[in-house]
Amino acid sequence: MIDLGKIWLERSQREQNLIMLTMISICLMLLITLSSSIFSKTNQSRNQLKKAKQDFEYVKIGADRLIGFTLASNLKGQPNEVRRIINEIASENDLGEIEVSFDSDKMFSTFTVDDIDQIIVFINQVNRKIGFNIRSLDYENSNKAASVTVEFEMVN
Amino acid sequence: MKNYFIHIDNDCKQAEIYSYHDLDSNHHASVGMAEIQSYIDPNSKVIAFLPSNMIRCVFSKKEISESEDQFQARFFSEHEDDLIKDVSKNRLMFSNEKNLALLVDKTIIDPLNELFNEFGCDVYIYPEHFLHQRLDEDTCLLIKGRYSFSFSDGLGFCAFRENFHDYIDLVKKERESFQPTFMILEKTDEVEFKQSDSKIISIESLHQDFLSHCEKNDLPSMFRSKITLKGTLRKMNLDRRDLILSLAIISCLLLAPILNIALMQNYKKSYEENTLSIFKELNPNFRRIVNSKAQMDQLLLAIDSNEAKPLDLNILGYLRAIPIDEIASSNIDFRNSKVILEFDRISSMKYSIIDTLIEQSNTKVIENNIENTDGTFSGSLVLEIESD
Repeated sequence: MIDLGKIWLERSQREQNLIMLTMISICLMLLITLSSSIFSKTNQSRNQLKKAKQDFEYVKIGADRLIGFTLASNLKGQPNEVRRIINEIASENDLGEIEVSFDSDKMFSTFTVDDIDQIIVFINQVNRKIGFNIRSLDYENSNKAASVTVEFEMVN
Repeated sequence: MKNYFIHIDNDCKQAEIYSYHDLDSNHHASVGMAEIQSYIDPNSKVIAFLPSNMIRCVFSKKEISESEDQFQARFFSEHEDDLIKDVSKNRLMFSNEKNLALLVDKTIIDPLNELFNEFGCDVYIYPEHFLHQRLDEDTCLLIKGRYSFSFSDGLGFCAFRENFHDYIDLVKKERESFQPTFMILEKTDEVEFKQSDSKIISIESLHQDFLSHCEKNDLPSMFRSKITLKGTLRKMNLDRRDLILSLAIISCLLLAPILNIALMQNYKKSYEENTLSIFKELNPNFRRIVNSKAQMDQLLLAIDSNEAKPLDLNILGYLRAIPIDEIASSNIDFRNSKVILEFDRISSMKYSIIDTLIEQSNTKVIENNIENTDGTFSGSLVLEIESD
C-alpha cells in the first residue's frame, strides 16, 4: 500500500510547498465550480418556478372566466334560481334582507352592510356561484346603516 | 497567556513540564510524551528544550546574495564530512543575526514537530544551553543528571556524568580561556565538580529570565509550524459539543442552497400539477400541457372576451383608504374605473385627511365639487382610478 505520509516527508520543502499550492488551487477551483453550479441551478429553478406560477395564474383566471360564463349562461333564463342563490349568499354572510331585481341584462342587489369586507365577499361569491360580473356599485350612508346597491351584468 | 517550559529527556520519551501563569507556577515531572498535551492549555506559549547533545551548533555566515536553498546546499557541502548521518536526514535552522546554524536529526525533530503542532500553541524548540547562556560567559548547569554547557560564543553541548571529565579536558584544550560557572538546581553530593565552585540557582528564575529575554535575542527555534486539524480545533477552543454544533451549522449552510433548489422544484411541480388539473376539470379528455397560456387562449376563443371579464375588485380598495363613515354616498363604475364620492358637512380636519389619502393613492381627481361652508365641507369628488 502507498504510504502517503512517507512520500510527503520525502519531498523537499519546495516540493511540499508546490504540492500544497496545487492542492489549494484544486480545492478553490472545485469550490468555485460547485458554487457557480449551485447559483446557476438556483437561478434556473427560480425562473422555472416563476413561469409555472404565472402560467397557473393565467390558466386559473381563464378557467374562472369560462366557468363564470357557463354558469351565467345557464342561469340567465332562471331568475328564481338566481334569487334563491343570492338569498343563500346573503344569509351565509349575515347581510340581512336583500332585494333582487332584474332589468333586461342587468341584475340589482340591494342590502345593508357594516363594513366593506361584506361587500367584497358578496360580490366574489355571486361571481363564483352565478358567474355574473359587477358593473357598478352605489353606496349610501345614512345615520342608521350603510346601504349598498350592486349592479351585475348577465352575459349572453 | 500561560507559559510552559518543557525539558525533554535524552531518549525523547519523557519530559518535565513547568507552567507559569501570573503568579502561579506548576511542575509536572516525568510526563510521557503522548501525555504532554493534556497538561498544556491551548493558545499558550510553549518553550521546549532539547538536550544540547542532540543538536549540533555551528557558526556559519549566510551571504546576502544567497537564497535559503543555496545557503543550505553550501552549508551541507562544507560540513558533509562532520555529519554522521546522511545530509538529507538532518534539519537545518539558521539565525541571521547570530550567524548560528542548528543541525538536528530529522528522526528527533520531526516527531516533536508533529506532536507540538497539535497543541494549538505558540511553540519554540531550543537547545537546552540557551536557557543559561545569558548568565555568564561560560556556564555549566546540572539539570536532570546531565551537564549542559554554554560557551561564551553562543555554542553549547551536553555531557553526561560518565563523560564529564573527558569532556572538560577536551574543551579546555580547544578553549584556553574556558572557565565555566557551575550551577546546580539543588544541593546534591553527586556532582563532578566542587560544591564550593558552584552556585545554586532555581529553575523558575532561569525560566523567567529566559522568558524576558528570548524575544529580544532572536534565537533560532527548531519548531516548524504546520496547520493541523487537531491544533486548529484546540486553538479555537472547540469542545465536542461546539464541534458538532459548528459542523451542523456548516452542513446547514452547504445544504441550504440545495434545499432551496429542491423546494423551488417542488413548488414548480405543484403549480404544474394544479394547472393540469384545471385543464382536466374543464375538459376531462385533456392529455398534456404544451403551452398553457396558448391552450387557455384557445379555450377562451369560444366566449366573447367583453362578456366574461375577470373579476377585478381592486377598485374597492379606495373604500379601505378613506374612512367609510365620512362618505355620505358613493358610486363606483367598474367599467370606466370611475368613483364618485359625496360628503356632507365634514370638518376641515377630516377633509384634509381624506384629501391626503386620495393624493397618496393611485387616483386622479377629475372633478372637484366640494364647497366650504362655515368651516365644513360638502359636495362631490369624481376620481379616476389609474390602472397599475
